[in-house]
Amino acid sequence: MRTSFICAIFVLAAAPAIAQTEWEGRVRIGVSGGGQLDTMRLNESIVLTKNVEPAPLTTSQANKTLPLVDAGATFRLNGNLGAGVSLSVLSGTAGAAVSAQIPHPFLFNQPRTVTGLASNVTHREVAAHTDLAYVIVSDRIDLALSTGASFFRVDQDLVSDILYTESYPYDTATFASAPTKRVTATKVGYNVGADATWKLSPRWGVGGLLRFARARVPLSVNGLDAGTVNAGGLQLGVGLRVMF
Amino acid sequence: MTFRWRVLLLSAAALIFTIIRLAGQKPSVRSIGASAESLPAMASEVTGMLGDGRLDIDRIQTDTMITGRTHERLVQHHQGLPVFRGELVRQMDGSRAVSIFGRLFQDVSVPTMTPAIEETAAATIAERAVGPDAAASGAELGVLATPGGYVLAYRVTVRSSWDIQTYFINAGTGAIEEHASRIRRQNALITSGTGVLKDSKKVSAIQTSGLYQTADVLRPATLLTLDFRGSLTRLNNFAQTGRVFSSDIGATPSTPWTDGALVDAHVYEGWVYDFYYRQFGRNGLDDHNLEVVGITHPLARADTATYPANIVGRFINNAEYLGDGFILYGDGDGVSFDYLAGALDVVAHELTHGVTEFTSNLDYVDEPGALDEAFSDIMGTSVEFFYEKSGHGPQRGPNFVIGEDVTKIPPGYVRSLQNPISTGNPDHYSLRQYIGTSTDNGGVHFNSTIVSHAFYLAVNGGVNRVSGISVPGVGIANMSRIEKIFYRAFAFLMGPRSQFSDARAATLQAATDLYGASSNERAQVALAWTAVGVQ
Repeated sequence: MRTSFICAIFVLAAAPAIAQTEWEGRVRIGVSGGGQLDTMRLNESIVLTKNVEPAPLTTSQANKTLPLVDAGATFRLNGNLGAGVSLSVLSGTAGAAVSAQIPHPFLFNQPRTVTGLASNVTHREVAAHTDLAYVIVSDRIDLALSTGASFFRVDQDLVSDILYTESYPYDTATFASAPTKRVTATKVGYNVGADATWKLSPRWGVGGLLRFARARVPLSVNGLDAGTVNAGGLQLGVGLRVMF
Repeated sequence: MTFRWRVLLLSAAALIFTIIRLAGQKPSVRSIGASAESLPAMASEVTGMLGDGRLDIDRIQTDTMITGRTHERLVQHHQGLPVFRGELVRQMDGSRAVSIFGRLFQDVSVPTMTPAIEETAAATIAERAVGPDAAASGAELGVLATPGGYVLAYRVTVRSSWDIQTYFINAGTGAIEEHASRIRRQNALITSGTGVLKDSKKVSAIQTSGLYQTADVLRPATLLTLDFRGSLTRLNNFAQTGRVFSSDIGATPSTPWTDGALVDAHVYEGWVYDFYYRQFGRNGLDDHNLEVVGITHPLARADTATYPANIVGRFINNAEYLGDGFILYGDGDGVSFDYLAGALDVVAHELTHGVTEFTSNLDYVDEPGALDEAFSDIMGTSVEFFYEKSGHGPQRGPNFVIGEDVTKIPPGYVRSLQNPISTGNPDHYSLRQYIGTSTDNGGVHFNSTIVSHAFYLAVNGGVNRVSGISVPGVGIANMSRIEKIFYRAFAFLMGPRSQFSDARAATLQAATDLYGASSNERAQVALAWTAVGVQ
């Protein structure tokens, strides 16, 4: 909802500048830097086996804005309609809260809660966005509205185990560390966005990117289903624009 | 003859008479149970005896139930030598004596304190008495009370193929004064069950060379469970040498374990260790994490028909505490009993003999022996209630009978704390039997139910069949409070020759220590003892 609202504001703000002229060039190239909001919402949930019983483990990370680099080109097809392709890359490392239920070594159904922090959990996304774009051209500002498929590749550190200390009579256990393992997964998602270009000259300009991309990427670690991670998010960026 | 000469002659005559009287005097025992009015005088007397060497502190146990208290085991001495079985237990709160219990021999006197035979000669005599496969280990010189008077004697431990015995050898004549088996036995209770009863359990094991072995090293005390695989050779080797080998440890190349007896013995021993730790703060049998070694499949069930009845009764249809942390679980013949390790209360019963060995060390004969058996039944039942909640477990909950999980013959258990008469055992002191006879070592199993029934009444409440006395009891929900009383009494306050009356006094002292002199717990225990006729 928030994303849609922001997109709507962006488009409406650009509306007064629209003069509805023809897109005269063939290619528009943009390079932006910015950030992706709502990233790294990792909610890993796996079930380990400890002391011959299931030991459910969850890992969660708070949302975070990650730096983003985006580059792409839009080719005119017909009139103001074009086809675009762009690549966005982001990466971040942060801690993740880990919580596990560790079964008692001697007795069934007597789990002990162990909590801790897995440090240096890295999340990396590379997304290729292929869009149909409609470019609204005016004297000073061009606005490209686009939507299409996004091909995500996610490299994610997942907690693969939990290490703990304990001593007799083992009524409690204390978190020691949470080893992680980097897994890679791909998934096709979608994106919708707008790119506004303030033309400094007929060929050069500066622009602002607003895009929402999303894919729910299933992950597994050591053969265990680890749940899904939300790849993508609301991307904001500013940068150079070149028009040919 | 002058007056002075007359006095001298009379004095000499009196002295000779005294010597003759002492030499022929039968030992008498002084029972001491000082906890209230008599305590100051007794404490003073004990201090004096410690000062002049008639008592010596053998060991001091830290009280794990009341902070700051200790229990001193004071061994009676005579001219520097121990008087066997003369022992007091003094409960101390800092430097203040809280209670003193025990029995001392009076008028101890022996003709000479110099032995006529050497230790090695005494050991040889004991070995010869047992048989060609016997091996004696150590001989301790001391004073022994015999029916004919006090004698200087060696105490010798002798291991043989089928037994571990204590011999007392007269240090003057070389005669065998007495001997007894150290093996604490319980007639077989059979269990069935993955245990034996097909219930899943967690087994603490080690893995070496591709094998899983039943060695529990996760508890402070190492618990080893052996598998003799029904081999008579292995059993003989162990009985003769007391040694076990790593190859004896139960093993499997893959898990889960499928040998129910091995699983249950191993797991239940761990549970019993945990029970004592959690309930009483006790660290294993000797409170110093003595290694526990359980032996399963000592003889094979399949070979039952090839052994004489006494061997079947001892090594197949039976479980035994062998001493020093060794326990043996028979396979059961499959007709009368299932694998004995399959019963949690049986395993707890046997391990509790180990606790007794390292605490009160009750003589395994007559009333002290019955107390030994009763304490094992009480703790066996307590362990069952600790782990088996209502509606769960092999019998759908805990109960006050012993061995129900492995007994296949009517009435389906071997003893009952609730209704002792159901197995023909007494539920009142007036019905005790076999004291002073060789039957059942003086009725150690038979008479134990008088004591364990008192425990039952104090917990659950009920009416004693004989006395008609009704005991309200503290209720099952408060069972652990009575457990603590009995544990405290048996582990800290009693000695080798304690009688039923001593157990009553000791439990009342323990109740006072833990809950106060006017507590309901103390009142219920007192009424329970009265109900079963023990004063």
